[in-house]
Amino acid sequence: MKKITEIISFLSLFVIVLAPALFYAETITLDTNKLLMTIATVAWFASALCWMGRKKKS
Amino acid sequence: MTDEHQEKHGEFEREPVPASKTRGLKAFVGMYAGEHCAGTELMIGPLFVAAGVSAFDVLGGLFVGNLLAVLSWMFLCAPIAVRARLTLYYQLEKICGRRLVTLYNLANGVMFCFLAGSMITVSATALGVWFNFPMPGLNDLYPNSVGWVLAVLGIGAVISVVAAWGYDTVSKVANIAAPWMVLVFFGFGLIGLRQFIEVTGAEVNSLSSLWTLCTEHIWKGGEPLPGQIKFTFWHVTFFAWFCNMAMHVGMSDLSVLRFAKKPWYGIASASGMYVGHFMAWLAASILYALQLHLDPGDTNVLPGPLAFQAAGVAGLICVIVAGWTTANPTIYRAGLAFQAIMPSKSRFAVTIATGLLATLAGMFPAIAMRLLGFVALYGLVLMPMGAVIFADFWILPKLGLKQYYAEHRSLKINWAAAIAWIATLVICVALVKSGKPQFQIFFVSLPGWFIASGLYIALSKFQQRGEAV
Repeated sequence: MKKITEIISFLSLFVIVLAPALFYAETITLDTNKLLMTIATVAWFASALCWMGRKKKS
Repeated sequence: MTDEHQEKHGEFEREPVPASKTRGLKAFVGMYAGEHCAGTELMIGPLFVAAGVSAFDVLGGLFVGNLLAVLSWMFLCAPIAVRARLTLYYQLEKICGRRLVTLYNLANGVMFCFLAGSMITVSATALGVWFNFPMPGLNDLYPNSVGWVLAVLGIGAVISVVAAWGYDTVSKVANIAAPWMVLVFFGFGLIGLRQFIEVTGAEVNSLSSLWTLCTEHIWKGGEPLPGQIKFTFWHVTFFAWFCNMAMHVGMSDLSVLRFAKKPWYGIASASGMYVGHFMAWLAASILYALQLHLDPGDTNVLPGPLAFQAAGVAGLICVIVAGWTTANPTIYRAGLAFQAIMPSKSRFAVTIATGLLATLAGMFPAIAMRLLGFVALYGLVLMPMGAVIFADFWILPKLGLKQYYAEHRSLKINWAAAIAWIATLVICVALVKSGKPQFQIFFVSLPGWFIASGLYIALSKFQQRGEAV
């Protein structure tokens, strides 16, 4: 489960950079960029809360 | 406040950090990168544009100024931190005596309150987008609408209660938000750049055409906006160098870097400087330059609307989180500083009162809109004590004088340090008031450091005359 949330987190961060990069390259519109960044933001906080800062089980 | 919490935040307060508790470089890289990508970056970048910076001045000035800041951490703060391994407050107490440290705490706490106030101001601009109330303009000094006052009050109240109750929770959220926030700032830059290309019709297909866009449309130079001071290369350089003066030259980060294994770990501050104080400032300034390009009459520096037009709801969340996560530890630190003055009061009550003071400050946009000058003043006020620590640690022993004089003589106040601090501030304020451009608030801390060091050495020599080491 932890592995899955970690993957979601890293994908979210990737989308946070990818969306503006695609907008810069004129591949997506500004509205699509905003939507992608918002979805990625929600996904990042929801997934990162599950694993970041948690102590590893001994 | 739990015992665990106190242990976490109060460890080794009056003893050197043992070697077993020191940390590696990575811990400091992450900490600095997160700490210096904050809500205020969204104000500072636009204020550079309002100050009429040119492309060369802002890029060159930030590069050099941030380098000087990193070198200050590496060669002024970190070497003392890893040798003494004491908190700033304990080291100051040994040099200056408890009463002078109390005065220092008061000054520090008040400055932290105003800084937290400007962070609350930044967050409140995001609420303005949602609730559409009138927000303050660039030259406004007072709150200009009931909606604004209520927004600041709401955010300030939440931040104060959380700072008093749940510092650890906020700290966790701040850690989680840090990598996301850095990337959102980067996104602001890319989005602003593309929008600039579209509205100007410029063709950017090489570094040279990008530079042309930067010089002709983004950072055009020329006259500043009405009410703003013109920023040159030197203003940007000194601002970037001294905006965290309290931490490096002023030695606040002794408390942080005392955990470093090696003195060169001060280089970790480069992550904060070149991510937060280079990339984030430039990205925010691009968004504001675009706003001015589209409507030269819209000079308002409002991070909320700027971020919303670039990144939608994600941008607004970034503004709120950036302001919130940085205002919280600032209010917490200010509360600690005030509590040291009033130890009989509970930390909860003091933090709530501190938060309310910061909230009151946040209602007045004058602080956020004059953030460049305020940050320079903040560094100036605390800098002389950094000079005193430097001189006490390195120079006094070489002159055959006693270090940690207050501790040595059980003094409550070391007058050499007190006079060096107050006299330096009086001289620096007089220099600023002289109106000479070389003594503007942004520059005066440099001669001020030498004045403070010189005064402390001379007064210590006088104070310790006839005493054998």
